[in-house]
Amino acid sequence: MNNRFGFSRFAAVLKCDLVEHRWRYICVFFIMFVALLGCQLMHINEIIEWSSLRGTDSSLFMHRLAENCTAFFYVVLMFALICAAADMSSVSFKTKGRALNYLVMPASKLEKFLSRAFINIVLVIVMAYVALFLADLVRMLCVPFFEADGFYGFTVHQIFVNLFDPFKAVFENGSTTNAVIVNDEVLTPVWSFGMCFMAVVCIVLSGLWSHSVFLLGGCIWRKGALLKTIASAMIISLLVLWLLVNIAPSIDVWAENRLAPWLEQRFETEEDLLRVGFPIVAFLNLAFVVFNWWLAYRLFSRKQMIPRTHLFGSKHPHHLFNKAHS
Amino acid sequence: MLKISELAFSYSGNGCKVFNDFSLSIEKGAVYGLLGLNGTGKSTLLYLLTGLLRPQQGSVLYKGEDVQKRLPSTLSDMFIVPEEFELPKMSIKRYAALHSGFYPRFSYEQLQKNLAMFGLDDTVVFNNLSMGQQKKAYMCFALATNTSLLVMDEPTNGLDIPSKSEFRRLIASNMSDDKTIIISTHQVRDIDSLLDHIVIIDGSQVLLNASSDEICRRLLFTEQPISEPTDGALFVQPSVAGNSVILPNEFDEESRLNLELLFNGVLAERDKFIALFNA
Repeated sequence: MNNRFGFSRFAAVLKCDLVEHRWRYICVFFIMFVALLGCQLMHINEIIEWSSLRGTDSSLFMHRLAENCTAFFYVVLMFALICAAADMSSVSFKTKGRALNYLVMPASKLEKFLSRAFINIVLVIVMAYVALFLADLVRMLCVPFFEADGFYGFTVHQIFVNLFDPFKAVFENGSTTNAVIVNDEVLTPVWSFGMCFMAVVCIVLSGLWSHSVFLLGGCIWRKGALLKTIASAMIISLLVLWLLVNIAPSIDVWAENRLAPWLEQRFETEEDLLRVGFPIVAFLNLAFVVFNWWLAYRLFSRKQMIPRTHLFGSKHPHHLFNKAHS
Repeated sequence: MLKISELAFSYSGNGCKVFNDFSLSIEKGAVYGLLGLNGTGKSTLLYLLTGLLRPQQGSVLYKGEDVQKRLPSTLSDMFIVPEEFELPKMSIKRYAALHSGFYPRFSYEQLQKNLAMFGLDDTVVFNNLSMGQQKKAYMCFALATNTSLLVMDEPTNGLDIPSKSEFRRLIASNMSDDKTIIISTHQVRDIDSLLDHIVIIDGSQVLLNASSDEICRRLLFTEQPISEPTDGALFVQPSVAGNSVILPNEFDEESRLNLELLFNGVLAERDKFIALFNA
């Protein structure tokens, strides 16, 4: 028997999880649907008013609605992803009975972890888009009540396309902000494609890093992981801030006397600096993401029926790094 | 089949060890009765056997594999019915359809047969059943998985009187040479006829680990009038008829194993019994 990973077993674990906790997922879906529908309906009146003030026709209604709902959709999606990540172990380990059922299920630790991660990430994203699609349909049913014909259409398509807007903006800004204009003519230097790409990679990785922090919190705590993770992050941030404030004068001196001359000597232009800076930031973000996922998996796979410690699921945290116990 | 070596375990919070340097071997093809006082770690031992808890020291090997690894090959060959459990809100049939795939030797016919013995139907939803009925349904599923090792913690708790005899019949009808069942219980009268092997523990020590045949070969369980002398008895316990007595079985006499008397005797006169069975 393959004890590492088998797709049929992974699918079976996934199916069990989905069926046994279906009401929970339906509830999450319903909340997202209501929030997105509410947002769309609330914006209809506002857009009609905006249109009458500007004298625009109804052909712009859908574009305006999608624009207005995009930010809200991403807030809903981000919040759902964060909550779901923090929920990694609460569904299966909240009570002794649930933990027992889950731990004795004949599937590997990797299959169980990946199935939970799949539900808490992929499924949540799919649910958000389906909820938006349904909200679109219901909004179209409600349009006759508003007497505004321009609201027939789907926002889901435009919002999906808008997903790439921040990245497009990076490319656009990157290729103009550094431009040198001589005699009304745009000359180089501009950010190269590679630089723009690295900037986008940095943005994506910092998002993944934030998400992985909540995933890690979800694997440490069985109950109230979201609030505990936020509280821990706040405490750590405050400590770092306090540390920085305390050592700021010495950093200032060091930066002025040592770092600045060194940077000036090494990097002649801002682009030179960013060419090195972006990969470093990207690498650090990636390292944090990989570390958080690795630690989350270790903590998840070492969970016991009854929590026996305060933080790391074991009285002996060094066991986390012990391969013999993996 | 199952080998526990130098096990040490304690729960965080209270520093005292539930197990310390504890070793035990379980062979296949027998129904084991795990007995002990409250708080001696019977349930904890069952959780350690099935990999639900991790010992601080020592190991539990099931067919040569460390149960701590919780490998699918190990988990699909063992099943635990805990004293308290939580079942999802779905019918037995649906539960079986979802979970049977994990157990290669699962038999749906056997499940239906087992359920029929308790007068249950597979269309009924777990949450619509009483706790005792849920336990019966869960035990029926556990036996239908046909795993080599079945662990049960207080299986007769919450069962009505007719169900207790049905339970004995169920275990007997599902037992085979390649299966091992470990039953931890305080209700010894409910299962004494089922047990092939008795293990009495007190945390750090195995006080008794012997087959029922061996116990009956070495010990004589008898009832005596109060006037009769009890010289040479290993243990005497007053009873309604006079005295319940455990004597060394010097003349290979036959007697019926009195599990309650044996348990009390082993706890009261542990050195005598340990010496007798280690001789």
